[in-house]
Amino acid sequence: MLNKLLELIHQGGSLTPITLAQQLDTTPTMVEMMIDELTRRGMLKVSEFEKNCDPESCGSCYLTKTCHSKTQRMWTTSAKK
Amino acid sequence: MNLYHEFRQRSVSNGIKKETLSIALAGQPNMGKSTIFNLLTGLNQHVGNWPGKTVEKKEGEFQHNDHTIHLIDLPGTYSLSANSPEEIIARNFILQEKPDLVVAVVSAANLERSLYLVSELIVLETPLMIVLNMIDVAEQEGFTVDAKTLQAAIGVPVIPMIASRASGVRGLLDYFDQFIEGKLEFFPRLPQISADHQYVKELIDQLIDGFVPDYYPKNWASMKLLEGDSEIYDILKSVLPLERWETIDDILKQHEDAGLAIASGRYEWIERNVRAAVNRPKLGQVGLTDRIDRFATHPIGGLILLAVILGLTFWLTFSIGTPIQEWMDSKILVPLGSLAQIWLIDAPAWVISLVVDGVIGGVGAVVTFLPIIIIFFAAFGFLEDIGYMARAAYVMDNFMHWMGLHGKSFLPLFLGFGCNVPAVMGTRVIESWPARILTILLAPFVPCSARMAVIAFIAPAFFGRNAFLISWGLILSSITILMIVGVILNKIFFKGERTAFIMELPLYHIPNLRSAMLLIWQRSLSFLKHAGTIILMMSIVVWALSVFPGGDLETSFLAQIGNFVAPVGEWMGLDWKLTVALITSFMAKENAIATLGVLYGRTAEFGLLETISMTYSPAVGMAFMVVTLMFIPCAATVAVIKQETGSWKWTIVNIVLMLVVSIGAASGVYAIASRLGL
Repeated sequence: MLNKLLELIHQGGSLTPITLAQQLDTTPTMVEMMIDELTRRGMLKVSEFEKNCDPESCGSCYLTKTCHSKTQRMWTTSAKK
Repeated sequence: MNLYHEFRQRSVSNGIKKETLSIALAGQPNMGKSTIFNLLTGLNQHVGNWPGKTVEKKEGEFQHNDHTIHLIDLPGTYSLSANSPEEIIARNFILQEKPDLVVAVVSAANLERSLYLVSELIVLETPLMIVLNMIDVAEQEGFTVDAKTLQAAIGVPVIPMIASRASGVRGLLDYFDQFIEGKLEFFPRLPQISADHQYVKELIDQLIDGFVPDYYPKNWASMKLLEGDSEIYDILKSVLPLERWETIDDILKQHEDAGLAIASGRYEWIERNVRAAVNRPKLGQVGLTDRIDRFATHPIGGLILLAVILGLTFWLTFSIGTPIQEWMDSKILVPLGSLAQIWLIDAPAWVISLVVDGVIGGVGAVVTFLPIIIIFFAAFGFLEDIGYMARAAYVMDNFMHWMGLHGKSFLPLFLGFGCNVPAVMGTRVIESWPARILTILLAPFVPCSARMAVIAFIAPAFFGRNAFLISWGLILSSITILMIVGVILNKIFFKGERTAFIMELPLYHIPNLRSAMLLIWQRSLSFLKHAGTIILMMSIVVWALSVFPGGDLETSFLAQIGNFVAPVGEWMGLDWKLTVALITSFMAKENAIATLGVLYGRTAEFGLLETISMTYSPAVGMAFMVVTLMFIPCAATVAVIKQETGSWKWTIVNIVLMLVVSIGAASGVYAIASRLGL
């Protein structure tokens, strides 16, 4: 199952746990768990994109204090296969 | 016995002859394990620490029929790997202390994740029962888990429970009775390792045979070794003869993927059991999200939806925001200017000019933006809250991929619709330096809310009822230009291959009205503060430059600056006043309007919009909007570009790039619009 997921990921392109779940005929939660597994094994790299501002660096923007603090997770393939 | 056969040998508990029974409660955090522990032990419990660790140890006892049951609440763990002290404690307790029974607490609402730990517990030799907790939460979320089917699929007793309501405790105690009496049968179905790795495991089994400490099952130890478990690796390395260990080490290095095969077997086991036991009608949130996403994340359909949403935002702006803005301009600012002139009738002329032209004309014009900008804040806040923004970024990312751009680029770029500063900051998520530079260079091409507000302010002056379509077209054109520039720059700086990019998409949900209103309120206050500081300061500077040295606008310092740059402005059909307005937008984009407010002042009859619509042709208006949309970024964005690139070179490249593109595009638009007689 993990190998099938890896095959799909290595085909490249933009993916989501939902689209991967459809292709693997499983649930998005299962895909997220497997993505986490591959990340733990160093096969994927996770980036957490903070959608909130850094008050020090974004101080020049007047909306800094009202920025949302939400995290968006993204994964990309790493050199390890 | 092989651990990875589909069925483990059927076993029947022998019954417990001793008076005290030892039961360990295992489970992931937040599965209700502690609630069950408290329900069973009541006040008869003891809390301490596990020996040598700072991890809390909870033990308790209760009497059940003729037996004393000693219950141990193991630390919450996601697996039985050696990744954390909690995991080591939990597995060593089960393996070394050998409780009579392990009860795994799983959540019906989160069965997939819960079963991962069970997939590890089931291969141990200790008898296992499963408490299927939170069945009520699962039902609330629109699906059910059939405990009997799950029991048949896994092959160990499964007891449904709602621990928060103490429901199911009797059933659990009945199973304890059957276990004590030796009436309980176990047919555990175990995770399988793929056949191509089976021989590797058998080889390791042979090599470690006779050397594994008694408390570790040999099959489990070889499996953990293949998985790269650091604790088992160190233990076996220390007990095995060197030559034999080196052989094992070589095998492990040659078969690094065996760990993946073992994990894969666990996921297949989980998938099989979930598929068997979970009844998930496609009516829940995931089903809804799935159905919406079929269109919202479609490469073409998603782009159309995005364009429609942007169009709707502008339609709302012109239907609601612009009439209020025009009302504020004509019914508040114009009379306020007249009143100020009356109130200050005895004041020196320069004071009247400062207040009426500088402050009311400049800042006042920007403050009338408020209804427009509130709609942008509300629209983008709403889209963010319902979970659409991530889809928009994903759709654009898909589109950008077609042109060879890096996958992670568009998420920070999408932030640019709010403000370009966080868009530039957001590029930190991109590891590749060329890709990051490219994204930073593109970020200021995203029309920020301030620039969109300027467009929304000016468009009705020239295009009346068509302002909505013109503005929408301009924003879409601006995004198209961003893509074209991106493709060209990508060919020069970043020849990236099509890498995979997985993005987590949140479920759609109904936004919280109170939070949305609070956000709009906070942002409106921030905007007014911005108008009362930066814009006010710039308005006063522009006013001062427009009245000095002689009090005549046409011979003022501002006119001199304007006339100096006017030749460039003429390419776009802009006179020196519009060119100066454009230049002042460098401090903040809204300053373009503040400057026009200062330069054109206010008459008793007309507001700013009427004045500029009578002064300039639609071709000029169109060119001004185009150049404003893509003109050099504001000072705050430039400062962040310098900070993030650490280089003046890239900062200047960005400024020059935007100047060339904006002036080029505006000149082209002016030439075409003029020929069309606009």
